[in-house]
Amino acid sequence: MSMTCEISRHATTACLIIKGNVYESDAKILKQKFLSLPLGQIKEVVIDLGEVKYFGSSAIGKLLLFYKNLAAHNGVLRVTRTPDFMAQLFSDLRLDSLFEINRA
Amino acid sequence: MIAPGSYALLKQLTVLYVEDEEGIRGQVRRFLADKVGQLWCAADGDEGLALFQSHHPDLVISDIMMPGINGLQLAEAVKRFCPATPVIMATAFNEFEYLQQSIETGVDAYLLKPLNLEAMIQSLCNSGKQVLRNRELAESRLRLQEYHQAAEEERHLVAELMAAMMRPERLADPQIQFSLEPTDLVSGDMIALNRARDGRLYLMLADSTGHGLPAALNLLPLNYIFYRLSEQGLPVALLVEEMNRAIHEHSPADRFVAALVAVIDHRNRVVEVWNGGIPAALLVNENGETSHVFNPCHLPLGVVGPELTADTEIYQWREASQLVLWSDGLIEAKNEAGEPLGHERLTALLPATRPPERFQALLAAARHHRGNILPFDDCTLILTELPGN
Repeated sequence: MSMTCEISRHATTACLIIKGNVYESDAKILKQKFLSLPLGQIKEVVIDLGEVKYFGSSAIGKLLLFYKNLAAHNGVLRVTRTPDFMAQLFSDLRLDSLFEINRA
Repeated sequence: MIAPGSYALLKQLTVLYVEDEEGIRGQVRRFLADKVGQLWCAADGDEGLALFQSHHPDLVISDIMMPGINGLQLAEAVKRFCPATPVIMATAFNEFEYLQQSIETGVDAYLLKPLNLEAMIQSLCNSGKQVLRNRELAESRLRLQEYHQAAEEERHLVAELMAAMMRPERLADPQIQFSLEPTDLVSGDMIALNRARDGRLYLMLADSTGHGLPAALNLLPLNYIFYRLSEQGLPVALLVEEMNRAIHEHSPADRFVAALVAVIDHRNRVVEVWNGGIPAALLVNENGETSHVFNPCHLPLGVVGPELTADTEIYQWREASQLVLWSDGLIEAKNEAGEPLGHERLTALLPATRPPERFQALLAAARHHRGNILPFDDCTLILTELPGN
């Protein structure tokens, strides 16, 4: 199942709903999606991973890069509906020390 | 009416014209000679075939009825030798019975005799466009092949460099068994082993973002730092902080390296571990019971800057044990049903196997789970013996 990423905005909050497998090639598309967000105008970004089947390390790299850029603009990142297998991986990588991660 | 640009197109083409009637041949030669890039004329099929084989023209125009091999036989020979070469047949009304045969031969176009020179130019242009498209395609294919070959050579060079930097001579330690199965020619996982001068064993499993060449390049500075500092028996924390600084300063911001660095002091039965993002490493006794877990307690290398303080975990084992660690690629590898291998499947095997067979049992289970499905990440398994008294 190939990746899809829908973006919506409500005032200063942006929501990204990611679905499918996020392989190395999809990670590049994800980066473009992240880059399309006007960080100066956004205070919070919520990423919904509820429908993600696989999230590779390249995708985690893009997520970290995005987190750094957002933090540099004083924005907050929140990852929601994280499937258990990914929550475990994120926990292994201690990403929960950088931003809020909610399980599915 | 000849379309603008047609003459420029014709100038890029080489043409073979075959006609046994001297008068027509001379007329066409005079008409085409200064319009096409190069023109060869032949008086019969045999001469035409010889010219074709020696000059490989882009296009062939041929009469049908000729002494020796006729136009259709020539067309057959041309198509056999070079199927992409367009062949245009000059056909008189009374030779129309050859039309069916021409179609079967793969003739590309027909000109009616007596020849209308303007129609001939038009037909040459139509076929010439295809010739130019084929030429561009062939050039693109050649460039792509050259690029691919250069990229492959570079990949092999990096693979050799990586293999040499992995110091295979140091990986041959009687207390270590390992398997590293890359998904690409070069691996994004790396194992490093080194004995310090005081006999302590330093061990590192590093897993760089992604896989293949970009992942491997990120590992090179780590390898260098690991061997340089472990040689001197320096603290694990110092190795980790140095490696973190290198990745943070020199790698792109979205590149990080999960790593586990350990030093094993067999004399005092102490193991010291720093785990930044590698799945939990297990200390397992002879019965396969887990006596200690080295959980990943830190962010991977390169995520934070010099503010990283590399707190390590120190554990003293009492009975003969084994330190088992694996990269996420191993436990995330899926079977045909799309199920990942998972931590639990492997840990369930530990009590079911005797220590000497444990490594092979884990490896066999991982491979059996994957079956014919290729993993999408590099898979590494390491087992280190920690002898008791």
